[in-house]
Amino acid sequence: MSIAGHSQFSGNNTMEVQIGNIPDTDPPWLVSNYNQLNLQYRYKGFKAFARGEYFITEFQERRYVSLSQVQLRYSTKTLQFTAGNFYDMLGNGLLLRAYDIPGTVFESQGYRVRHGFYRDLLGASGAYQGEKFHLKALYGKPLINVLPPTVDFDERRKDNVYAVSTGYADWGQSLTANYLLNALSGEYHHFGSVNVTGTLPLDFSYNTEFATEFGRGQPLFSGDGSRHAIYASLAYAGMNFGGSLEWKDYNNFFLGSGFNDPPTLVKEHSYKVLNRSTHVAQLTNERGYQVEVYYRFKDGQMLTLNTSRARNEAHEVYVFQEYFAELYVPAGGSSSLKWFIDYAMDPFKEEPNRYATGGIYETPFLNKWSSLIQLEYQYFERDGLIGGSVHNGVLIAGVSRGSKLSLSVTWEVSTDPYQTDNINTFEVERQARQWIGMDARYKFNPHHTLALFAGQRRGGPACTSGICYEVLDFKGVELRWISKF
Amino acid sequence: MRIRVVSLGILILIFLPVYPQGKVYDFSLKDTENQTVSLSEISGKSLTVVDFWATWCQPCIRSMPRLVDLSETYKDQGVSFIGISVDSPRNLSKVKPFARSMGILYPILLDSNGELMGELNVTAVPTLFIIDSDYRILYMHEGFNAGDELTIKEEIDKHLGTKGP
Repeated sequence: MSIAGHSQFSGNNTMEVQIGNIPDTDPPWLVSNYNQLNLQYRYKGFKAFARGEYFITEFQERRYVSLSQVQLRYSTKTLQFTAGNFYDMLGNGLLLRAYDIPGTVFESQGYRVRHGFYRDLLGASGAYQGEKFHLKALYGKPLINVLPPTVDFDERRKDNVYAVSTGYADWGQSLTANYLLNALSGEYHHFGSVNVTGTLPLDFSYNTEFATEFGRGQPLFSGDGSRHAIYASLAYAGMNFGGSLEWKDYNNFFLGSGFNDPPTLVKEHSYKVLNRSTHVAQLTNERGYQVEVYYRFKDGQMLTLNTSRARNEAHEVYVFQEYFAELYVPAGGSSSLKWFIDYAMDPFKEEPNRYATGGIYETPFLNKWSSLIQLEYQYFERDGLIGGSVHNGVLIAGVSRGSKLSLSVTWEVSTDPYQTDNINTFEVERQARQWIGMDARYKFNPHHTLALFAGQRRGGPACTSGICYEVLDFKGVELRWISKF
Repeated sequence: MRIRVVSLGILILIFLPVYPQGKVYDFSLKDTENQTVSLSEISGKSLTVVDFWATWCQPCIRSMPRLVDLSETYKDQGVSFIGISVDSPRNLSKVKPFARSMGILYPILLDSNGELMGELNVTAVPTLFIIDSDYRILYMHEGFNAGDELTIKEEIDKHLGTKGP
């Protein structure tokens, strides 16, 4: 990306104070403070960036102050040189993907240390971007982002990655070849990929990528031992109708400490019950597809249909399949209604038949006020040791005044034994469990926003920006102050 | 001691006189036609509305029909709209079909690395900027609730120096 610049200093700061803890955990009112400061200076083509983080808690061994990122970059219209911490991706992420999820604060059950959730590279890169030809070379040590800054540097950045990418683009088509060398614990692995993308007549477009490891002495697709990743997509974008068809075949393609991120071909849901049940791609062995289509009716209604399938073969074969349908209905003026139904077969999670439905209704009232109500329900029968019927429910009700003020209450209920069971007792408790929490957000001006949470928040898997991670349960009060300057 | 010094430094930075909104730079990104496009090639003569969104973002989806209507309303007044999708490779193949089925005819650029997002201090989606012909940021809007299109329209009218069509 080329940028012509002027002198400018900018940044943002996120300060978060928590008074509380995971329910049924001592101490119940644990006080902690996390802060992340990002500073950027730009003068013409030169940019300097720094990120600092700190975490304060009563537990000495969990505290830290860290200069987490430093970056120097120089860019012209065709050249870019970067040193320090940076993000990059090769092709569709089959070989390498470094990313940032702004505003996300992560805490694992094991370490109980809060830190920003990003996977960057520490090293250097240089790139040339011409009108048709590009060339890029980089060296970096990827961050293992589930490990907090209290862990040794060598543990958090085990891998060494060297990569070269070159390509040619013309007539709306592009061909890119990537090479990556991974050095980890004295072992060297060579990978390569070829990525072809482009547009076709009649509003079609395609994207394909094939990646493999070199020098293993084994033919491709030779079974358990071969390492390959294949991704292909075909998309159609008509005026009122559009869709995409994607296919994947990944075998033994978890690279290094996990610095690649191939497309998962599973819908990224924004509904809580579905987001929590998102299938996580198993790169050791997964094959499948995803189809999504949209149709917009003349009155503005829009129908979305999605199906995805993933076949994993480990000790036995697991086949995940999901069918999703959503209807968006403009309901007069600025009001709108969305309704969904979902059915999934997820034998890996011992949920052979999982049903869900729900909807969101939003409507303005008075002057610049709006209200929102969101209702979701999920049901499945779980096999296995802790089996039985599981009901999950979510109700969210809120009001907002533009983007200046918002207030909402979230009520969740579950009969899932994994949620209802008290781990401090021998028996399995099955009485329904509830979480009630209140969120308030106030924007003082374009530069300062205050967000307050009070109550209980249900944890579990969460997926955002294409990345899935675990969120812990929380009971207490959380105050977040976001500043931009 | 170190934490106290750092905290004090942060507080000073936060309460320093508010800086001007700043400028957007003439960035270049790939669009949904696989072409590299720069801001200067597609910006409006009077104003440019830059909207960061993602296919998985519910408020973004709610905002789109309203922004499409606004883009049609102001297209003959030198106001251009640009959509910037921050979808990762996980959803990249859906971006163009999704945008077209929502009726978006203005340019959609792809920021799948999140690089431009970081450059412009965008920490959430949707985030919308209104910039003038010198790329100065005149207004920023984070999030979207029903009725926000009226606020955005007011801001466009204010900076166009009109009372609206």
